[in-house]
Amino acid sequence: MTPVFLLFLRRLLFARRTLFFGAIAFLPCLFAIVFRLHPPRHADALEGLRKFLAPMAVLFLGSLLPMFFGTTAFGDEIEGKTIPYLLTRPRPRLSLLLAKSAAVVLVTALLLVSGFLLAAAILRGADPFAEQEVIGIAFGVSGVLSLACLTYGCMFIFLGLTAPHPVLWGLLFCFGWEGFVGLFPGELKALTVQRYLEGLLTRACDLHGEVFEGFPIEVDPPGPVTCVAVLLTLAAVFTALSNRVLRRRDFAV
Amino acid sequence: MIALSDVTFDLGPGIAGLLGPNGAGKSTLFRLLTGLLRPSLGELQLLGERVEGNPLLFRRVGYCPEADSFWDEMRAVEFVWTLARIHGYGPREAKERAERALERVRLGDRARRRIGGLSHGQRQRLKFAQAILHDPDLLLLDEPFNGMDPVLRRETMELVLSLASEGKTILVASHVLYEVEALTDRILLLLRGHLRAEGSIADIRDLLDEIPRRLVVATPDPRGLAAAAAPRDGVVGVRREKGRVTLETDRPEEVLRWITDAAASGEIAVEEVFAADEDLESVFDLLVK
Repeated sequence: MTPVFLLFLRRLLFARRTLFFGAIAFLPCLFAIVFRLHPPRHADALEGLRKFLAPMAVLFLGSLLPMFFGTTAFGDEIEGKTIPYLLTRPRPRLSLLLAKSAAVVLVTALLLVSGFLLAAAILRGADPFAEQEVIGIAFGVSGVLSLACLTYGCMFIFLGLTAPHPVLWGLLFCFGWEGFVGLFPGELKALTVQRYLEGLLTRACDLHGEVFEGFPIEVDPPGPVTCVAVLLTLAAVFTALSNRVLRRRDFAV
Repeated sequence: MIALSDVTFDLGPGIAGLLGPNGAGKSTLFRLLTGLLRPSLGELQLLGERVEGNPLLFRRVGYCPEADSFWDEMRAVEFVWTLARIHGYGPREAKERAERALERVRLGDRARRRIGGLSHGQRQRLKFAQAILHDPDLLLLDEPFNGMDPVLRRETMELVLSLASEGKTILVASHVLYEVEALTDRILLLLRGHLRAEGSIADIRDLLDEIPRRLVVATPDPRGLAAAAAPRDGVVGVRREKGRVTLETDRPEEVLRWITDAAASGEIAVEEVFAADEDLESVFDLLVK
């Protein structure tokens, strides 16, 4: 699997879109700098990290980047007509899928975690009394971000293999389903990935029912074990579905 | 719409040409043979093994796709090396095989160039290199000569011929008839998703008895020859031109015998007789009509 993984990793790292989305991944740093230069009156650095930058990184960027990288993972090979080179080698299609998934998850997680850690480092200097907390939050959120990349990455790879115009559907999912469903009463939100990420974010940032800058956090989210189990299960289910599609799909290229 | 139906053929060592106009189903057949497409009915077998879900088959099969597509940011040697690694070779062997394959397609001096900077013909040869890097028993070449200049085309044809002389089985798809004609006498004619004919060009022509054939007779007396030929059984059309007469016949052997006898007896003057549509292009045209 290593050569395939390295091929995909290299292709992702040198893709033009990586530069663009890399810049987006570092958006929290921009806010951190603004925060440092113009600190708000009613919030300290720790608050900024907990209530704004962490939710933004996990709930907004954590779905956006895997969506763009995941939906185009096989789309690029299909549209670029290079997929026959991969599929006509003595290698199971599952190994291609796993290598591709690993590359997508690694690159998105690297970008998002780096962006967030740098933002945390920028904010850390603003409040020397909160240094330990900032470090704790930074590493906790990095873990949640990595899980977000895994789950969303696997989901969007599946979407890219099955749906026409997957980026459009991906955007609808990220900003329609994931954001909108939470506004409805009842248990509908249990059908979103965001709920389980929120559950972990709540622990990592000690948020409980707090609302900050458009990111409402659930008062009583599921426990961390449930959240991790659901997210890993989703990743496994979508990988299995993608494998099925990859084995059965026609590639008229 | 059925893209391909009931296509069965045997291939032995050597070259076979898969011929057909655009849209005949040649690329579809190749995609089916390489597992890129799945048959809607039935099972596909290649080298005695099923194609679907059997990636190990590609240890013995090399495929040169039609599309001019690469990972353009790579260098030529890197491209072939990467595919050799994906194929399962270790780094050192992959390097040796990549260099050998590039030498074989005469791209050795361009190995370090970026693929994006290669000419169309060089890119065609690069596709060829990745198809032969693992020394396959069966080589599937989909329009391999597209975009090549005549010199390069000839060189690549020589390469295909040399691979065939090593005992490899090669199936070359093309819609350019003279390319296949220059490579092999064994052809498979695919039309509208059906294998319409199989064999040598002459064999295929023999299958077309219901289609009148054209015999061109060079003669100093076209008027006399046309007048003698027109009433004969088996002659369905006569066209007189300067210095020659073209006879359309549904019984070419009988008419040819008459021409020979009549010329020997002095009934008609004949300088030369040849079949106008024995070349592949004409056979192809007739079948398409």
